Amino acid sequence: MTSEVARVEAQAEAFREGFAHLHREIGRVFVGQPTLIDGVLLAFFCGGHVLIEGPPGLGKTLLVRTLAEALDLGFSRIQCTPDLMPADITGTNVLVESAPGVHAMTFQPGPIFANVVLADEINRATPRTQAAFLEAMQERHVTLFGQTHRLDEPFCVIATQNPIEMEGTFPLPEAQLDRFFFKLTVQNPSIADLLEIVIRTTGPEQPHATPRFGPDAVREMSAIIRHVKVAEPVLRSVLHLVAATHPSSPDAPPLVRQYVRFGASPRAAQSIILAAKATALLAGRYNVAVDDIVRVAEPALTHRVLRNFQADLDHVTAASIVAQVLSPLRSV
Amino acid sequence: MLPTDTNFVGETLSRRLHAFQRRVVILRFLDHLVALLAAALLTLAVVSLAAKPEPARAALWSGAAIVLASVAAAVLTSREGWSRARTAQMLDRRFRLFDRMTTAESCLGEASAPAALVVADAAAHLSRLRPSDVTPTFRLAPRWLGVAAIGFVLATLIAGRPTPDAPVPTVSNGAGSTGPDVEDASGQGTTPRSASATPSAAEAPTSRDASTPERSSPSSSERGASRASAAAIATATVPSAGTGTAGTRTQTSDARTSSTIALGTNEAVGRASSNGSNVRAAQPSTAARVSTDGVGNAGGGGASSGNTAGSGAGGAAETEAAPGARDGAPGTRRAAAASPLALVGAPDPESPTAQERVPPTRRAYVREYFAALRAGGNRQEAR
Repeated sequence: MTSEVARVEAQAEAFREGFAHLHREIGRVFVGQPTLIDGVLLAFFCGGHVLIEGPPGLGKTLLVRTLAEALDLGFSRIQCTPDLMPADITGTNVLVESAPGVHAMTFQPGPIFANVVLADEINRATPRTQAAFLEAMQERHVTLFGQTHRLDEPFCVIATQNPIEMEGTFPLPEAQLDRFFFKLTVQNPSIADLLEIVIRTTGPEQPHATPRFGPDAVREMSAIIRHVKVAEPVLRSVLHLVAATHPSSPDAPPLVRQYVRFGASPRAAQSIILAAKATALLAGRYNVAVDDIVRVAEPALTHRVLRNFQADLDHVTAASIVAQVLSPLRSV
Repeated sequence: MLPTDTNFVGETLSRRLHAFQRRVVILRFLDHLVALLAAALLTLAVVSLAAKPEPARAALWSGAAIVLASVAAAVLTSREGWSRARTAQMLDRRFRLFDRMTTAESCLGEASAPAALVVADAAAHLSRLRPSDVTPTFRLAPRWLGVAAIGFVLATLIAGRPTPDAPVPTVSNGAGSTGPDVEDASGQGTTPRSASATPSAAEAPTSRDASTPERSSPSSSERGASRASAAAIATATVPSAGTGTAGTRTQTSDARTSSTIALGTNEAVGRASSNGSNVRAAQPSTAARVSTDGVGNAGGGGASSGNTAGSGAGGAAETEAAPGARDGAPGTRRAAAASPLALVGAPDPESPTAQERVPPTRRAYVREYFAALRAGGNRQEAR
């Protein structure tokens, strides 16, 4: 028992240390936005996928690439366009001449077969192509011509979308939105951050993250998160939180009743609990607190709360609705 | 590195949580007890004010209220269900322990490394706290505050209302200085008291207020005498008015006042009736005498004297004072409605009859007169 405890403690310490190291390494390349970096790392270690939204030129792609580089993981980038086909993502069977006169159909894996996949401007892909991501993101395998091909572990899709150029785009369906662990927003950098960005990127040397970890280390780090304990009252608070996002729920606040069409799914509760566990571990605890729930609930709920037309008319954002849903927990 | 002897740490945590649980239960009980005692005692105060129980019964009620409040507080505390889990939650919130106690409490008995770590972490944090750190809150719930406020308002309203049989304060401060006996008041005692009434510090304000208009006009003096009688009624208790009417003479100290006033009244009546045509001469004397007696003797028999003054002055004064003179209490209450101080007659030291003594033979006449009045006759018949 003592050795087991020591092992868990060592894992937890390794997670904390690795997380801090990654934060530092990414910070060497990607300037500012610590909340965004935390969110991406939390979702990655929890085994989730991230949807990053922000105007172009704010370093979304750089962040994901740096993450893969720092983790020493396989990285691929898919630039989504309207003519992108599912096979371009998942791969396909091609006729290969293995030997002279011997031809066979061989599976040629697509870019989805990587540890970290960047789906740039995912809302520009057609729904058919977007659906190709669905199976990969949720099932972590690809089925092609009756054959199932498992994806590598760890596997993380980090999609970006541009909120200002909506012409010719295909907004992600609710089912696909729900598959993202977090939705994070890239903020415009401050003057100080902008100065640092300009200095770093216009010098003779480009900063790079030092590769470390690898797939095995990452899997081990991720495993410790699920050992963190959650008390039943804390668990119930998460369930009430998720239930409160539904307009028909008795716990729903006024904003939800008025402006929400569909509330969060059970996946939201799973995401919140997992992220809260990682947050607790980072805080040096082996138990989840309500404060951890509050910290991670907003990125986990924002894209899962589907607003109605009235909300658009009244300019009520999902973030403000989630903030009202969270207000009872903040006062605890 | 946290201590990892799971069983030992778990037992320690369990014991300490239990200690905190005891403390919380006691504090919650006290919280409820304070609120319930406040409500119960306020209610009891209201009931006591309304019912006026005997001291022994009031003490019994108080004891019962305390016992009931204690029992109710115990019931409320037990119904709150301060389990170990709830105590752990309370500790987490009170001391910002980030749900360590709640989680550890749920992990007690679980044999896994993460659970052991959680329990050890919680035990380490709890070891820095003492049960005495859980301070009492004594928050009065709004409902109890409401009950207490209602009780307080009721108690105030009831306490501020005069009871029907409560003694009405007398106008005269000299009531206690009633003459040594009836003879002094009616005989020798009358003259010096009339003479000394005005300069007396205790009697001067009331006498002077009333005497000022009397000096301007004899008729107003008569009315003043009548009013003085009414004031005397006002200042007299109901029995004394009755005594005045009946003209009974008693030797008890309380009744002496009444007797004295009654006697003074008798004197005035006797004088008014015996002088016959000299009504005006009799009235100032009556006024002076009554006011003197009213001041010095608490005016117990003023009811009769008012009647007497009316007999001399005619209609108005008699009509004014008659009800009070005849049936005592209603007249007394009506006179009390006006300011008694303004109605007290003032002695007139310059009056020629101020020094006059009433011959003893008149007393018998006055007694007969009042006996006739009591029997239902009128003054003329009495004559």
